[in-house]
Amino acid sequence: MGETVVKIANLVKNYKELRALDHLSLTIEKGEIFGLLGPNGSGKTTTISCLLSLLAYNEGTIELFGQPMTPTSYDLKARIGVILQNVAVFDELNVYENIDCFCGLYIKDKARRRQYVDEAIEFVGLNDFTGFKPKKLSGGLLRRLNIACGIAHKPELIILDEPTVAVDPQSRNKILEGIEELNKNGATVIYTTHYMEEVEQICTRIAIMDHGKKIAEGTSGELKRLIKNTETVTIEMKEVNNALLNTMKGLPNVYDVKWEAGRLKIYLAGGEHNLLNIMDALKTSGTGFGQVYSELPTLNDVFLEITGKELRDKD
Amino acid sequence: MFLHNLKYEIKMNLRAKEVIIWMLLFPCVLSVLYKVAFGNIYENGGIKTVPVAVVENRKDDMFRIMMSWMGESKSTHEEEESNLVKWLTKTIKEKEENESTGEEEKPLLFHAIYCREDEAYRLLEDGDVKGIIFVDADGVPADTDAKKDDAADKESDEEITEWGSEAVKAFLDELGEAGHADINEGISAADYLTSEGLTLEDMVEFKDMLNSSSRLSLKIKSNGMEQSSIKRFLEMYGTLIKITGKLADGGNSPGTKNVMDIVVIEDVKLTDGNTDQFVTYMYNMIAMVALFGMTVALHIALYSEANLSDFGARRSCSATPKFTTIMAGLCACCFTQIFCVSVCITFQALVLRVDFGGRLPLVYLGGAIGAIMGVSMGFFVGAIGRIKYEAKIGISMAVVMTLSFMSGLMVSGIKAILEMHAPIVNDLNPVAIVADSFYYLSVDADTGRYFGKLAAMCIYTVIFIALGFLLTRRRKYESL
Ligand SMILES: Nc1ncnc2c1ncn2[C@@H]1O[C@H](COP(=O)(O)OP(=O)(O)OP(=O)(O)O)[C@@H](O)[C@H]1O
Ligand SMILES: [Mg+2]
Repeated sequence: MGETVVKIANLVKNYKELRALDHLSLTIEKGEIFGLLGPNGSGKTTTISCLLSLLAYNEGTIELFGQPMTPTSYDLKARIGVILQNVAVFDELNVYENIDCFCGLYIKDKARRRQYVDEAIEFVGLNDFTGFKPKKLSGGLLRRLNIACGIAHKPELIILDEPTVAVDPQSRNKILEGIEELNKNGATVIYTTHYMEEVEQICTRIAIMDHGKKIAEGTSGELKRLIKNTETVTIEMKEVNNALLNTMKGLPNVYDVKWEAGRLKIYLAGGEHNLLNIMDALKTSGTGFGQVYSELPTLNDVFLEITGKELRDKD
Repeated sequence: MFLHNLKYEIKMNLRAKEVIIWMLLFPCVLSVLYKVAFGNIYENGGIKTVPVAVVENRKDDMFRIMMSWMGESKSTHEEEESNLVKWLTKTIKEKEENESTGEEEKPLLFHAIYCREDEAYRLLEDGDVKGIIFVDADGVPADTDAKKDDAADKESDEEITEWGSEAVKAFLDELGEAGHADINEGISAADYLTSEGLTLEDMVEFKDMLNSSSRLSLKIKSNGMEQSSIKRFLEMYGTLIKITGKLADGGNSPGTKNVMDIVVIEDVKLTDGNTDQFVTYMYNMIAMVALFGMTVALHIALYSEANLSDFGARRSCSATPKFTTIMAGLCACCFTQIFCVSVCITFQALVLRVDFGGRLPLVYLGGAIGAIMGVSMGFFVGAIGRIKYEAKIGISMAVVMTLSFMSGLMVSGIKAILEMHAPIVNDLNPVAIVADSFYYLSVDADTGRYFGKLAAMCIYTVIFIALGFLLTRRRKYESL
């Protein structure tokens, strides 16, 4: 790929005692949808804030479009669109006015701004709500308005910090599709989330963060290839005995077996006929069982294997 | 970009409900309430009769006559009155009856109750009388926390003298007319006196009476309109006695004698119970609205500082410098606030017909600069660290209300107390500064003191805006 849009090198950020970012380095190329994945408190928002020169950081360098980023780099800022984690729209202004108000921070020309605002409204599908005040919008629509405010000026780099938190599936899909469309139109996107499904769905490249460190980076496929797990077979059964567990552990390619909450999980690394072997063993043992299914590794497995913990709490 | 921001800032300001309520409706409603309250007193002419106890440690006939002239009197201990007093009282009564041909009633200013000291105190405690007048008061604890009314005396001396001389003239004219009418009919003065049942000794007594007037003290329990009118009356009476004494003596009286001594039980200051009070309230009201600019301007820093709000973060990442958004915010708030103050002034001037000394444009100017001062204060408070926005609103409201209170918006007279004990407070209190600028406009012929107050407002504005910018100059934050 060509141009480097974001270059973060050895970024360290301390909040008093707490080290929120620990020698973080990221490079993002033009045209990517770059996913920043990490559990709550891993430092995603802190990274974005440093990137935007809102936060003072202790060490490291940040370059955008090949130039160092400072608080007064207004020419650089003009090329960025930001959608922060919390919705920030003015209650006193309606949908149209809010977008126009924020767009006006970038675009001086009135006619052009009007066109951009109309396009942004069209883009997020708020045509029917232009006269609505934010208080009258549902959570999903509000998020969409928030996004429209950040992208109306057609930035080259779009930064979204967890734009889908507390959004219903319909709005979420709309948002994700929109991001892909923006990307197709030429924008580079940085997308932070703790929903791995979203990252897998849209991101061209992913960095996984934990405790302010980047623990892995690559495409979804590359990340999954980092770990030995290739397949997880789950068998629903009411009870399990040690003999069965040992049999399963002895099967080829099986590297771990766990039984919890009525589910027997068998972790496999490569190889063939794995499911067949397992079914044979089950049959021989004569134990009763319910559903059996096989899953490919997810980013959660990647995270689990690298950090030893789940990416996020079950909800 | 500045104009774009300005447009939206103004839009947002004017759409905020609080602005409409606090800046436009509240002051107008309050003004009307004051108007109604004061209107009862000043417009219908129905001054409420003020009950007052009189404790005579020494009998002062002149004072008795005066009191009976001002209203009804009643005595708890019956006693014989001198010839002269009877005659004077009768003459005055007759004259009044002649005059009151129409439906107009004689205003009963006071309802005097002559009684013993202990009774008087009881009546005062029970609220049956509004004050106790001591005649030749030895009963007044001169040592203790009794507060003398020096400041107010000094302040209004001229006024009183003027008023006093007029009153004296009227009084003497009245006495004169009553006599003349008969004299013209060919009866000698001596005959006239005899026919009225008076002797020459009585006339000598009259002269003595004028010369040997008593020292008067006033004791009141609390502060208010009624107490003020008693005080007014005593001041007037004091002046009257001084002048009549001089006249009766052919100008050879031994100079001015301190006849007045006002004592307030419970350390409360007396007020000027005249229409000025209403006007003062109105001036304070405008000043309060101007200072409410504080609450309007709180959001300027909030919406521009990345560490204070998400709006701030959003704006801080934009292509518009912070200085531009802050300036736009300041200008928008000034605009909004000047608008609100102007509405308030216009309402008072046109609807309530408040007297601004015929200098309305200068009143608008003072109000506008006051509004800008209020906005600058709000900008400063808004820029202070990480206090919650709600807390800042609370703080500003409290500040404005306290300053207004000290300036006498709720209880008039507070300002006078401060003026006496710590005049610097009034000089520094922004609400008082704005209110005073209007006051000076209405009483001064020139505009020197008015512009002095405007200068004070400008100094405040510059200081607060400078401090505000100092606090918002940071571009990067340690934490968000
Ligand atoms: N202002 C602050 N002061 C002190 N510590 C902070 C501050 N902001 C964040 N932190 C800490 O820094 C760490 C990283 O926080 P950050 O907000 O960047 O996480 P995140 O990945 O965005 O999490 P989330 O998914 O919850 O948004 C956390 O441990 C958090 O507690
Ligand atoms: Mg976050």
